[in-house]
Amino acid sequence: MRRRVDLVVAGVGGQGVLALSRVIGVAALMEGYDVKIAEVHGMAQRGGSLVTHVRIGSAVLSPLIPRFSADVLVSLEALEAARHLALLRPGGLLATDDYVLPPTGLSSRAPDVLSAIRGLGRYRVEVVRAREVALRLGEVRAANMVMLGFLVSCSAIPISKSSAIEALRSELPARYLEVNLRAFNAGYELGRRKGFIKPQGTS
Amino acid sequence: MVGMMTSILGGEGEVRLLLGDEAVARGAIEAGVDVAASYPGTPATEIVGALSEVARGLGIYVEWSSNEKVALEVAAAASMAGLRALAAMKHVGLNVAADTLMSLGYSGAKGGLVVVSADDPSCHSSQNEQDNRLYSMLSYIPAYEPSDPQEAKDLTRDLFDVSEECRTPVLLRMTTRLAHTRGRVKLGPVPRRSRRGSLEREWRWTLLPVNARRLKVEALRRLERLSELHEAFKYNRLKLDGDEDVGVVASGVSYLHALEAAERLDISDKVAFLKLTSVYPAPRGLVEKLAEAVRVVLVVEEVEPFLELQVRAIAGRDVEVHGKDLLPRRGELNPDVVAEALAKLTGAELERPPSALRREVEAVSSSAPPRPPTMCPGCPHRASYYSLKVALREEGLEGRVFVSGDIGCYTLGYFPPYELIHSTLCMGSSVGLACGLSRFTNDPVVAVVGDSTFFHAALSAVANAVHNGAAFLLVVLDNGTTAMTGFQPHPGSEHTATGEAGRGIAVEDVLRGLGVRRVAVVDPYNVRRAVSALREAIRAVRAGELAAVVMRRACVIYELRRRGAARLSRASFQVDSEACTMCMACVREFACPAIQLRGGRVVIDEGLCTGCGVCVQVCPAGAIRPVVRSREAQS
Repeated sequence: MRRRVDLVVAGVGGQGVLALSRVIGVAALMEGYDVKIAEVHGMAQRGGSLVTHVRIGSAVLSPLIPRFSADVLVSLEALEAARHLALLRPGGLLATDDYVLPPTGLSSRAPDVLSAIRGLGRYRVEVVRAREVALRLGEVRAANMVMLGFLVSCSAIPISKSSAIEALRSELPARYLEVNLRAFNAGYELGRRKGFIKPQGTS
Repeated sequence: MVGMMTSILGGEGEVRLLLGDEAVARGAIEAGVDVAASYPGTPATEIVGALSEVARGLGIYVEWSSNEKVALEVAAAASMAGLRALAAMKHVGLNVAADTLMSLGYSGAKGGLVVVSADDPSCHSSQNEQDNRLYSMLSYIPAYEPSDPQEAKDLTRDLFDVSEECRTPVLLRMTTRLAHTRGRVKLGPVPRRSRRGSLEREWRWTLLPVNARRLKVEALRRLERLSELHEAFKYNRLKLDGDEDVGVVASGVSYLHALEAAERLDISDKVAFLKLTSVYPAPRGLVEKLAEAVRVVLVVEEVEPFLELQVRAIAGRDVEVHGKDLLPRRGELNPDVVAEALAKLTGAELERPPSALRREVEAVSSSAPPRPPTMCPGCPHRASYYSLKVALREEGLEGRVFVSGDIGCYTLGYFPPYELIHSTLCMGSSVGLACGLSRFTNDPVVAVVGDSTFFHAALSAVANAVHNGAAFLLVVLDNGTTAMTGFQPHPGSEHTATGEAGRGIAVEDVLRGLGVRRVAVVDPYNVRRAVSALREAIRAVRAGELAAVVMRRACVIYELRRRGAARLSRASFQVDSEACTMCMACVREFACPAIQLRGGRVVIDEGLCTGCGVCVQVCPAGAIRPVVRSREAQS
């Protein structure tokens, strides 16, 4: 049986969604998989909602993940997790920060989307406080690597720790390497404490 | 921020994870390209962006031209000199370059000339989703569509040969979903290059009517030859066993959607596939072969029924042809919509998500408030728009002014709370429209244009305004770079695409040189001065003059990157909740993403604040105050 994982990475422009996707993609390539990542550039990057499709497998065809079929949805912000929920398949893993960044100019309270998602009872929901961890490390922009550490340690993506670190070294700027590695390790520890999670029934 | 595994450099056989755009750049390098030129535009930017980073080491001449027409002419000149050249642009950029393209379709090419059009189905970052394959029919230039980054790389390399062999420019059509998809690319060899251009006098470069008539005949002959060549073009693939009932004709990324859809419907071995990379002229023989073998054909392609019309013309009598009757003509395709169409045609069972699931998920998703793109914290455009609004209000003109906008980050001034922009058609149209609007309306007209767009397409419109005596307020938002596409230099910049010193032309010098008599230059971070300069200019406009205000302040993201800093000053800003009257002027009128309403109080998010200090000038209660941070936290 072919091991194939479809992963959606969401967040707000500026949170490092593209870098996270790219490091995962490079690591998967190092593991010998075929990879496609559908990115969005340009105007949407200016503080807007941002999502990438990362497809890993022996031979990936379309760069786009069909609706209700992603194995994993990763989000660096809670509202964005809700926004892209229709890509996740029932039984899939939602790994998301519970950080809420209200859209600019919103003068009412942002809804509690995570409770609503949990209420559906259709997904495995894991809250990863990546931003909080990154802030403690003194670099909020490293939240994406906290998330990567989490995903790797709980085997949500078919990538070994060593490939992930090698990809991180290859793809991220050298002057932030130190803090990114610390972020990755912190996320890895978070995942280990949660135990082994594997999305069920990956095709 | 390019990593090792995402770099277009590397030896033969090495594997990279490249964007479709970067793969095109690598393909050009493997073809020994000599010259590449472009004007930045999503989704084409990364092609010449990637080349500009490696150009010096490889001895390639790369430039960000002032617009797409000039870029194509620079590339065409290289071709005339026998060199290999690439011109890349977004789809609407080809409209700007279309005059040149049409003439090149007649004159043909000498050195390999590849014109890349990156189209944007679904208008992710564009004013339309025009299908530029249609230009190939209009210009007698062949068109090609790759499906994935590997093919984009290999095809680009080989298209230089096609171009030279058939003495024609070629059009490479990318779409967003390929241009911005990363995929596995195995690198090929990079040739040693030692070519130098040489120019000979050839009649075909002068399109006098007497020559043009002959050139048209040659252009048509070239097309016939290409049609034959495409029959055996190695990137076209026919998968036909002979017992299939349905045949799919597909191009570009749509081909992959179709393969996946067939797999999902479990009918892969029951459907014949004709993958066409050479989409114009379509290979008649291959299409006929498919049409003779199957009962019904589905053409899967993005945007216009371009292949469909060719397939109908070739085989419409022998076979039932479907396409845009089952697939949308608007927006990009995806595996879901192609699966629906294929299921309808073949009767295969398509497993759909249960409607209860769809309903529940939709309810949660739609509860998330929309998050449209916004101007960044510290963006000088926000400050400029704020001042413009204040100036208009103080001149008693609120809601009575037509603001003609243009293409760039500042188009976002259309959205609340600024809601200033009344029109944006295309590059440079702000000034051209203002020339007319100011004549046909009683209230003052404002044209707002960015610096890069100003040099791209506004200069001749300014000359028109001066010469014909149009009176409007011209606001040039000068942030020193082409910001939206990722900080490419333009004629106002002090450096070129490859990092050499370039002569920066000051916008105010151009305006004065073109005859604009009233030109002011202000810093938008200084709200008081900016408002006063704008008010003065508005009064001049009402007295019948053309007045320009250049609002100059570097793009905040560009500036922070240049400095390697997280904020502009040592201070960040906080709201003194004792002094705050909750008037919400900062949240509702200024609307910086760093200023948020949390727990019933207005707070400034320290992680987002860039320290521009404009909000301090916006707060009527004087409640926003600087907080000096420690040295360590600053960097």
